[in-house]
Amino acid sequence: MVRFICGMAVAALVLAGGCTTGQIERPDGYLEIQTGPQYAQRFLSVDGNVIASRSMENPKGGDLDYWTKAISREMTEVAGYTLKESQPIKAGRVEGTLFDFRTPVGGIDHTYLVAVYVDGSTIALVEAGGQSEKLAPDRDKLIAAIRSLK
Amino acid sequence: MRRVMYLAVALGPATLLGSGCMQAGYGGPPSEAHPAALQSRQADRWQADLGRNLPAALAGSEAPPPGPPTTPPSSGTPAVDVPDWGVRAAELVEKRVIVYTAEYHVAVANTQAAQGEAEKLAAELNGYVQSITEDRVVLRIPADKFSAATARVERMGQLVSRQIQAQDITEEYVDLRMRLSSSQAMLKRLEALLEKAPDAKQALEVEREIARVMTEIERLQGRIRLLETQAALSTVAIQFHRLSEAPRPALLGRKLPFDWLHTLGVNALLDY
Repeated sequence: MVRFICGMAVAALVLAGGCTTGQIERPDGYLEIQTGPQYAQRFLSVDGNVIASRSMENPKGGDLDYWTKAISREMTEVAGYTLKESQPIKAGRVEGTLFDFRTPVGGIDHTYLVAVYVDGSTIALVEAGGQSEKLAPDRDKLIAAIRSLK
Repeated sequence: MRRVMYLAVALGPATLLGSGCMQAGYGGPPSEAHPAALQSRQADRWQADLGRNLPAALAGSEAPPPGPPTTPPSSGTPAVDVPDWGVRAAELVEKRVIVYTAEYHVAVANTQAAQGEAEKLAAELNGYVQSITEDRVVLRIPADKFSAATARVERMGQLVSRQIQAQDITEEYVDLRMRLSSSQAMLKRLEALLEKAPDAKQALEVEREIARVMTEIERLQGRIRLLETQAALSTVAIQFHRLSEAPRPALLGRKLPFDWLHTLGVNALLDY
């Protein structure tokens, strides 16, 4: 009985500590490209769409609600993007928020999808972007990849 | 029974780790000079060596994380040649390995002229233009000229926003170098084992492992080269805006103090 309780306590600690690795599955038709220190993975399509993943430490007290509001504010008020929609998303058992932002770059409308997941002491981000016209056909595939976060 | 055990010990880690390894040919038929009984005893001894060395070698390829420098062992010769990882880590890197990146939004009267000025800046500082897309220029500038470059960019027009990052990749770099060193040492040991392989079957096992280690070495070298390039050349990205269309600079003071937040967006994502 004592051993069972200890085992459950250890499992709870592991889960509380966060087990997200920040890795996603490669979408079909995307190649992994060498990436600098900012991203853990980055994949590129022939049309120039990119999907990337990274993770960082979650400061004490940070939760999904906090980071959802922080990202929304950063992208709309600071970076000047337009929020088209946001929705809850899940990767396995980890809850997240998926945003769809739009911004013109050089006169061409671009889509920026970003999902933030909070798993205990880890924040994981999955970002996908490209010219809106070129990204639209890959949207479902990219969202599936965003959901594949481990 | 012992032979089966050594074979399992040798092949177990090799099978687990050896995905993508190439099929290699073997060196040739066993020597005909040795009588069968002598060859069988030699095979047993070689297999015992393989069973001892291969797992140790494979374990050594995953270098432990670099710790603080330690005093090298002074008492006699160790039974197995295991490098002192703390000392080697300190030797490998004399200073921190930092990657500098800057992201600027600058409002100017004439974006074309500003782009020209940015190109000139890169040339003067012995850097180069990595990309120009519409009103965005990405420069690669030698790391020691990073401060000079950012100071010049901030004078190009009205500063709308600035984000500067200094990312310390020393730990990853040292880890990669040590793993490379360890893999190269393992390759030498495997090559020595291959020379002593008593028959074609066992030679083939070692050659498969050699192929896997060589692939790993190439991967590590590629990653090290990438990090060295990243550290040697800083990245300065400038998004020019026409003065009439520039975002409100007053927002600059309201940014939250989390650097990664300010790297969100298509500019960094699509900068490949």
